[in-house]
Amino acid sequence: MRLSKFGGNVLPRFMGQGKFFHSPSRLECVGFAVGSILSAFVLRYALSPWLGDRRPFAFFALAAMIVAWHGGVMAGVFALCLGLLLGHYFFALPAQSFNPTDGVDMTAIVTYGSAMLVGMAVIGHLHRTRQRVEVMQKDAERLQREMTERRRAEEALRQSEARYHELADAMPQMVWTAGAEGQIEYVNKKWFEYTGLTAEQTYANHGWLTAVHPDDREMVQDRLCKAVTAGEPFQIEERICNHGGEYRWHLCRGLPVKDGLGKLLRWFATSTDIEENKRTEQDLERAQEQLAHHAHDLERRVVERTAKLAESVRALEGVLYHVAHDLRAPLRAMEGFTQILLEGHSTAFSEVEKDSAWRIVSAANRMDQLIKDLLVYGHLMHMEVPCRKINLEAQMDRALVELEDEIKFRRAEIQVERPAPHVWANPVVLDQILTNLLSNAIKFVSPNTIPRIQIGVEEDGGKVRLWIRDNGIGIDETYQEQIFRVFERLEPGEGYLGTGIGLAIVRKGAERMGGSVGVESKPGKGSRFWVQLSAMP
Amino acid sequence: MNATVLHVDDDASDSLLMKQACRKAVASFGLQSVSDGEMAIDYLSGSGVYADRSKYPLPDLMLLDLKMPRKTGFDVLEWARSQEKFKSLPILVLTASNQEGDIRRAYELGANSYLVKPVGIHTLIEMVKMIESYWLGMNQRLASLTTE
Repeated sequence: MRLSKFGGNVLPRFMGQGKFFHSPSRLECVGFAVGSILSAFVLRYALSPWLGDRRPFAFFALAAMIVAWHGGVMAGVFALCLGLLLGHYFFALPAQSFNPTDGVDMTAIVTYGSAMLVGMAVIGHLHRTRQRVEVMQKDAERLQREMTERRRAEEALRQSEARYHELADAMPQMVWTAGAEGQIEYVNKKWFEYTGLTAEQTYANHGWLTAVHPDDREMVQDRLCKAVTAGEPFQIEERICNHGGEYRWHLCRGLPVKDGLGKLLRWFATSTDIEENKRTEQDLERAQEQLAHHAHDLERRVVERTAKLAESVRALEGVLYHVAHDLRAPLRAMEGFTQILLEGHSTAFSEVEKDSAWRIVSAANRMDQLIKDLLVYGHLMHMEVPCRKINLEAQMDRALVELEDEIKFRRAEIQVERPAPHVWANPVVLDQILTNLLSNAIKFVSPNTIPRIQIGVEEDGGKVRLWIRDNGIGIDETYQEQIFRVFERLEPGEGYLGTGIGLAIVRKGAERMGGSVGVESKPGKGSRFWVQLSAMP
Repeated sequence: MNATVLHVDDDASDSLLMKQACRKAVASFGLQSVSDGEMAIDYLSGSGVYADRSKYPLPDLMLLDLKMPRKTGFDVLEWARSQEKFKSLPILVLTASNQEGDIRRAYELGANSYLVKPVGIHTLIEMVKMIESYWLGMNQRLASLTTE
C-alpha cells in the first residue's frame, strides 16, 4: 500500500518533471532512492524461484542507475549501497547473512559497485553538461529577448525622433537643440529655409553664427556662454540674416533640459521672427517721440502765447490806466472851475444858471466815480488775490470808519452783531465789498427815510455768511440776479448815486476769494445782502 | 520869510486849480509852478532864468506830478536824491495814477509821500491845508537846506 502510494504520487511527479536531479529536496531524494530499491527488492524477491541466487545485484544496480539518473548522483550512490546490502543479504549465498562466503562474492560486489560508480559518474557528468546547456540556452533566449526589445525600443526612438523632427519642421519658428556645452546638434528645416545655409555650414565651427548680424554676434555669444555656465533659461533679441540678405529681428528663447538629478542634458531653443513687432515697437517709439515733441512744442507755444497774452493784457491795462487817468484830468478841471465860478460869482448867476452849473459838477463827480469803479472792476478781473486769515469784525469797523461822513450825512443807524469770526480773504477786496454793500444800504432808501442797517454773521460748517439788512427800497425778485452784473442799475441816476458797477465788484471780489454773494429782498421791505466766505478757526 | 512850494505839473488846468486852491486855503507859502521835469531840475539847480533866487527861491517842499513830457517825475526824483542839497527836500508826489507800480517806484526813488489828485476842488483845498500844516508846520526840516 505505502509503496504504491509513494510510487503513485511522488514518483510520477519526479519522473514527469524530469528535473528532480537538481530540484527535489534531500528527503525526497532519499525517499525516492529507498522506494526504488524496495521496488527492485520486491521484484527480485518475486523472481527468486526462477533466479535463485543468480544475479543477486542486477535489479538493485538497475534501480540505483534509475535513481542516479533522476535523483542525482548522491541519491544513486545511496541507493547502490542499500541495494548491494539488500542483494548481498537476501539473495547472495549464504542467504540472510553478511558474511562473505568467498572471494567471488566480494569480487562481484566490488565489480558491481565500481561499474555502477563509473556509470553514475557518467550520469553526473551528463547531468552537469545538460545543466550547462540549459543555462546557455536560457542565456541565448534572454539575449534574444533583449535584442528584440532593444530593436523595438530603437524603432520606437526612431519613430519618436522622426515625429519630433516632423513636429519641429512644422513649426513656424526656427527650432534647435544643443548639447550641454552649447554645441548645436540639430536645427529644423525652417532654419535652412530661412538662412539658406546648408547643414554643413550650420553645424561646423559655429557656422550658424554667420547668419547673426555682425553687431549682435558678440552679444549673442556672450549671452549664450553665460546661460550655458549658469544652466539658466535665456532670451535674446538678435538680427538673423535670411537667404535674401535681409536681417530680421528674432527672439531667441532657450530652455535647459535636465535629468531627474538636475544634471544638464541639452538645450532646447526656438527663434521667433519678431520683425513686425519690432517695427511696430519702433513706429510706436517714433510716434511717441513725435508726440512728445509735439506736446513740448505745443507747451512751448502755449507758454509763448500765454506770455504774449499776458504782455498784451499788461499793455492794455497800462493803456486803460493812462486813458482813465487822462479822462479824469478834464473832470478835475470841469468840477474845479465850475465850483470856482459858482462860489466866486454866485450873485451873477440866475437860479437856472446855478442849477446848470451844479449839474456840471454832479456829472463830473459821477463820471469820476464811474472811472474809479471801472478801474477797480477791471483790476479785480485779473489781479492776484492773495488771501489770509482776516478778522471780519475789525475789517467791518474799518469800512464803517471809511463811510463815516456818509453815515453822518444820512444820519444812518447801524447795528453790528459782535463778535464776528475770522475769514479767509484778501483785505483790499474784502474792504471793497464791505464799503460797496454798506454804501448801497445807506444810499438806497426812500426819500426822507433814515437808513437803519443791521450787520450780522451766521456760521455754517466751514462757511461764514455775513449779512447786511437795510430798510431800503428793496429789489423786485425779477432783478435780484441782474443787479450783480456790470452797468445794471435799476434806479434812475437822480436821487440815488451809483455807477452800476458796485455790486459787480462785490460779486467778482467774492468769487476771486472763493466765496459767493446773494440777496433776499422784496420791494418796499428792504434788502438782505449776504457774502459767504471760508471760515478760519 | 514865507516858505516856498514848487508845483511841477504839465497840466495847465491842474496848475491853475492848485493856485486857486492855495488861494482859497489862504496858504501862507509862496507857490511856484513849472510845467515839466526839465524845468523842475533847472529850477532846483538854479540854471538859466532860475538863477535869480530872489525871484525863484529854493523850495521847502515839492509837489511832483509823474507823467510829464521831456523829463518825468521819476527822473526829477532820481536827480534830486542824487544831489546832496536835495536829499532831505520833502517831495510829495501828486499825480493822477494810483497804480501799484508807480507808487512803489516813487517810494523807491525817495518820495516822502504819494497823493492822488482828487476830483473836486474842495478836496484839493483840504489837501493843501493838510500839507501846509503837516509838511510845512509839524514836519522838522534841516535848517541848512534853505540857507543858500
